[in-house]
Amino acid sequence: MQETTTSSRKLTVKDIITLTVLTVLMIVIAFGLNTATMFNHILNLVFAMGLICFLIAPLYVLMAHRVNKTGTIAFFMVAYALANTVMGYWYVGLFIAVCAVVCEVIMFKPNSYKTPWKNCIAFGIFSFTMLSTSFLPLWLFWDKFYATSTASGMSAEYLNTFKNFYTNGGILTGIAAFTVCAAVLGVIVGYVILNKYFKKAGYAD
Amino acid sequence: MKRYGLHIHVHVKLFLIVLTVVLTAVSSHKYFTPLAFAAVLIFALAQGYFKAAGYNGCFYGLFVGIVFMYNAFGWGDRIVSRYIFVIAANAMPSFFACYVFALTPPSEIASGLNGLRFPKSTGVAVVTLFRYFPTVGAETRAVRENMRVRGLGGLRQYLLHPMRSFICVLIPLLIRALGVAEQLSVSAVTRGAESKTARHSLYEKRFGIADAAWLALFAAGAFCLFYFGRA
Repeated sequence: MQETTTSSRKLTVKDIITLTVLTVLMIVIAFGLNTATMFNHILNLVFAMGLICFLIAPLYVLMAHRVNKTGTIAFFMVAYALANTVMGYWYVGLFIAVCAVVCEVIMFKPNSYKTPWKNCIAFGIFSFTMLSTSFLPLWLFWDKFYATSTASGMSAEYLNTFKNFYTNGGILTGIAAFTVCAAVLGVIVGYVILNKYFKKAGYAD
Repeated sequence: MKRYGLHIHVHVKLFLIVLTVVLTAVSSHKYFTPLAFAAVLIFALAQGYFKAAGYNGCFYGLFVGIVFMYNAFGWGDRIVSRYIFVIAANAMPSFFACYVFALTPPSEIASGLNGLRFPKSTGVAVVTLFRYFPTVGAETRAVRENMRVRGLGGLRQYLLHPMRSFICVLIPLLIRALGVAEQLSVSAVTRGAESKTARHSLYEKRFGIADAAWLALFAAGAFCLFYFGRA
């Protein structure tokens, strides 16, 4: 196994391109699934984030093993933050960027990206970050959020459903537990896929 | 070699994207979305992207029309959430601007970002993003077509064997993506992306009157939207 030394921990052009390509796929899957579940409130508010994290986790595992350098998780989290900013949620983008730094601190040691339990923790934090972006605006500045959302055309019915879900402690804990468990399960499935297909084909070590 | 400013198209398009993103993020004015979309539409038409303008115009019209019908007939959120169409309509200016930007050849984008003194890593990521993003749909369709030929496609298969279907789509897509990443890396390195020295480009053009006019127009529009949107 090729070990990562301190001198080779800087992202090269090849790493950046690999990260970008896989990040594009992750964003396409995430937005596609999120859009598909928007047809039903319960599906969207309760299960969507868990399903998204479960499906993009194998891509994260492959990305971590292919690149294995500081900045890997921050790269796709910042990309996700930018994608949210484009969608109009700049505060979500800012929050994700802060969480990206936390994840990078966890993964700072060399070869952390090849350690399964560290990947589970980092991706678990990522999944919780994604979920937090749904309820934090509601908790922190509900009035402003409500005013902005209704001004942009969202219905009061949807916003009230949204508020009822994310201000109920029991429901919120259940959603958070489901999301983080789905993300960790996704990483485990990702490792199964990595070992079964990509390592044999020589795409990862 | 004498250095010139940005390439005309890149400069304006990049500015357009930044402007749209910033405005989408900060403005809650109710007329923002139609005005921003109209601005991008005029820009696309002026650049000669008639097909792109037509497609995006139709989609925007469709989303706005559906939202209008929801409001007019009081359909509520019982069957299909109205929110999905509101979000789609609000995001259209940003997506349309990105679409127009993606039509620029990658080498011109690289030249433009280089001229803007963007970090090399950011430039590589942006160029890769706009080079790869439009191909994702075609690659997914190709994988699904291959699955169908082998008798693995179809809604019934997806519902009966979701995990197997997911793996059947994901693995070829990822292997193809990694292949594309390898090719792009080799191409970028060959073009001197890892070179420590200053890079020059064939796409060098002086900042023209047209650039200034477009920038002034969009800057004025942005100021008005921002100012009156906050008032």
